[in-house]
Amino acid sequence: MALGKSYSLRKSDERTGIIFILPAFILLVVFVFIPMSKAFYYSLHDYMLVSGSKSFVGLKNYSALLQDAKFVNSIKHTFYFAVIVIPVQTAIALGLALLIKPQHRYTGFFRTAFFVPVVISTAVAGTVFKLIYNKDYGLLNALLSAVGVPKISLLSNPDIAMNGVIILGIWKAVGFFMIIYLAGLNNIPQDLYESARVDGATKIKQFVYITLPLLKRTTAFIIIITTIDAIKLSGLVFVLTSGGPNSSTETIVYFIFQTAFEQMQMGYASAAAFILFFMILIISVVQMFSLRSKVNY
Amino acid sequence: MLRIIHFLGMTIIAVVCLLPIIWMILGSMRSYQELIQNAGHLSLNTLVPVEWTLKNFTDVIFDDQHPFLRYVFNTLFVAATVTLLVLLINSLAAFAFAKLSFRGSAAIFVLFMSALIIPGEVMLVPNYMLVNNLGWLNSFKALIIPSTLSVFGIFMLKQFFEEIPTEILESARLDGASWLQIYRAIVLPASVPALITLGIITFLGNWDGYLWPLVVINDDKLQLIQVAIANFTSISGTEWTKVLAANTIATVPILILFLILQRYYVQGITMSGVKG
Amino acid sequence: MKRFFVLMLAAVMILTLAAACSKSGGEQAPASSNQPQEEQSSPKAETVTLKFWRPSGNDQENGAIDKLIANFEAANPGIKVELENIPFDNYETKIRTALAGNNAADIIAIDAPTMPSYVSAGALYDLTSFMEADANLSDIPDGIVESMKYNGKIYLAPINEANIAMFYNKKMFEAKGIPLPSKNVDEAWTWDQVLDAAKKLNDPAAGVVGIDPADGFGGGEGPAYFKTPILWQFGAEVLSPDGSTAKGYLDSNEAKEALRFYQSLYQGSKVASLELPPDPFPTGKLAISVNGIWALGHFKNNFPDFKLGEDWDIAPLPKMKRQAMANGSWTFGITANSKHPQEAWKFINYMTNTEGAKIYAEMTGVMPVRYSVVDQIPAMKEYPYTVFVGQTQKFSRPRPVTPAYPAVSAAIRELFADVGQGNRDVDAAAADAVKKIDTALKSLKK
Repeated sequence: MALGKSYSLRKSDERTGIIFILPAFILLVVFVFIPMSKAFYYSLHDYMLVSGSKSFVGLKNYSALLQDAKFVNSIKHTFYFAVIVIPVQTAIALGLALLIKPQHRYTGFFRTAFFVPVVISTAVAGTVFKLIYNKDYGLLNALLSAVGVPKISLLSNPDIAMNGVIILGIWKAVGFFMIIYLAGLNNIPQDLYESARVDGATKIKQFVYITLPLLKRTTAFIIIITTIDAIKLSGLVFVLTSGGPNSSTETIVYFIFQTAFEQMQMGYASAAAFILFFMILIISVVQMFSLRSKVNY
Repeated sequence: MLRIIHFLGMTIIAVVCLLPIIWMILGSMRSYQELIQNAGHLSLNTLVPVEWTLKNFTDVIFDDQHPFLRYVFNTLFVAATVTLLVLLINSLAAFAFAKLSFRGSAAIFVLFMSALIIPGEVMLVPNYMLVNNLGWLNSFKALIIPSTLSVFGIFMLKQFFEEIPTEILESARLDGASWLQIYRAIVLPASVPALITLGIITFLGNWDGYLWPLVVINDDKLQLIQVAIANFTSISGTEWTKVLAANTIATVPILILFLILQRYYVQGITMSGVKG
Repeated sequence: MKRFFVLMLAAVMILTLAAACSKSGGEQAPASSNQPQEEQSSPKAETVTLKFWRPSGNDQENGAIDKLIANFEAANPGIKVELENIPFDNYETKIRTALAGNNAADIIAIDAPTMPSYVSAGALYDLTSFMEADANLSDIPDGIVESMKYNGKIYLAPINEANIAMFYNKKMFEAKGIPLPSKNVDEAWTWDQVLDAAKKLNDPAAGVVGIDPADGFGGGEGPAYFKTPILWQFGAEVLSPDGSTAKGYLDSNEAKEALRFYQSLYQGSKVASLELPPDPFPTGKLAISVNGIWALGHFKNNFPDFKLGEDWDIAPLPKMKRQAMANGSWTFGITANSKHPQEAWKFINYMTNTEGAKIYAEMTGVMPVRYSVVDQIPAMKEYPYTVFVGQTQKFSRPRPVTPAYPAVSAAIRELFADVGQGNRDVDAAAADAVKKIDTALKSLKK
């Protein structure tokens, strides 16, 4: 990728670059930065949603949040979700992509089948999983008891409920990342594998020394996107658990939504959003740097 | 032998992926009582209707007050328009970020990325106020224009565009082609799979949109699918069979679209034909 | 560049503020009794369009509202009502966002206990003079009129009362030889009696759960609506009479006794289940269910084989130290920004007065609030409505009336989840809930 930088740009090229970016940039300013600065303004105020009454409180919302057990718990729940989903989902996505990479007559069908959960509406997925997870009547426990595993209650045991959200989350999203991996796999020149085979490298060696290194960029992209999505988790919680049992699946964005629209404390909710924002920002920057250093091939 | 295991493994995963959608489609063809009664214990009838019926579909489609097909059409229009605009606007920007690294482009890219991070739920009220001040409330403008920025799309396309060898672009440039021509004649054709992937995910995102249309649309005739489906829930419960029927109507076209497109989007960057 | 946007932002905000101030000024409502009908129906008069938002109901409710609008428009050619049904789950998100943008409909449906928070935000039009002139207040039970008021003024017009009772599976009772509870509101079972029966009915092997004491564990306002009465029944209160604190009330010995009893159902005797399948009661997986009047229509439409009187029956809510039920249902209010409060009132008055309320009750099967309507519908004097009507007229009371109600509701919801699902120590859980409520109450005073 060093080529792009060695190429000396003329002034007109620079102008073209700016013109190409302009439409997106205007949208960014109008529909992201203006509302965002407004939200930041709210976060410094005691802003109530309907009344609009606000008095300047400085950073009080921020300091109060850090002592708010509900908010701190929501951070813990969110990170638990992220820490599991990021590696597991990425690994499964890669595994599925490898599974359907070989061209057989039936791979087209399976590729579509694996993608179907991405297409299903979140609300329907939540409903079906609620039925599957049910402690006494669900499919999951029927299967578990068939192999002699004791019943688990993913919907009512606060200690394990987040795992239910994780399974649903992976089920719903993994197909998309599989597709991204598949595109990455297809970009790897086949002759690399052929010469490796000639050299007598095993399949495992080929995977470790060719496939994985050449998928670094794809993996970096997938990890960054998955991280951001995981930390912004809320939709699955709304449809599966409504934050329960006993608040054990309340995530940061769920907390923000409840605070803003149920409690109408818009200022407080906005402050929580900016804490979230800075958390993801730091994580993303660290990720980008640590992943970028490995991309030079 | 290995091939049989491979096939079996994929079949099991496919069942896990497909079971809920099969339940949805078959569930839309039975009565509420039957659906709920059979959800409680496991048998063939948990999935397969005892008495097949199309009543849910007729109830959903032929409701004079809430014409569901109208909502499907609205959503189709909004999602398709947004998808086209997203592909155009964001591929241009992604191309500039990938290949025209002008002064400050890295910093501007970080600015864009920061937009990916802020959760939409917090932006709901400020964005509502903004759209309100622009006079766009209760129109498709409010649904379409703010959605045409896809930072995720810029990020993803940038990844793909970076795979295009710079030498090709450079030589085209030396031959006197403008960047817009290069973008149209080389970059876009080479990245059809990436564009289709982004198109699908954008379309789905808008197809599944709920909170934003709920808040900005006040006229029932302009409403979108997911809001209409949510209306089947009231204090006395959810009309599950109608929800399943409505979702079936909403999902099947997408699946067909996906089936048609699926042979394109998995290919990665195809440089065949432009290498010369 | 940045400075420019900050400036623009400031400008936008000043404009918004100015608009908000100028609009919330005119709250005085001129008396409107006996407005001459001719004025509106004269052909020259311009058509007034009223926007009307309500949470989507079931088919019967939606149909009844459509009918009321059609009737009203036929009688008032100068007024057009534009209805938007909004998903129940996110109704509040929608109206609160719209109210923040001064853009809500003229008429909005409001869940009664959230009213003070809207009033204190200046979002609702004062209906006192309208109601006193047109609404024949003596036709509505005093307790309900009280729950429509905040600081002495009326802001809401009620059409029906929500109501909950104890539903039980008659066949299961008979199979276990348990005497059936009385249908007479004055002979409600005590919680001890209910627990006794639940223990006999609970049968995990057969897949039967004994009791769902308060609509499981959900989100939204449901938990507070179903669970606050348990506190009352054990003799506790949520807030002090002046509404200034929960300390000494929600953590009183009576409240803790109620919470311990509730906890024991899930964690001790285990006659209640933390997890139930959808519609457990009509599918024979639950023996006793505290459920709402709205379930009658749902069972009738969706479970035609599960018949009231044969398979199941309704008894009054259990009592302990006293009998109690929460009143306050979905009601109608006019937004402070409405340009047509007179016409909006005309429509609300039509819906909620005797004629409209009767149509609504007959079409939906809900319980009307007005004595006159109850009198005109024979079914209201028969079982099962006698249970609901009796409870409303004798034992119903409003949930805490305070602008901080959203915080109170969330605290009660979390408190019961904490002791029921989390099996947490009742003293600690109650102390937490009191702290949450008192923090919210304190921030109001500023």
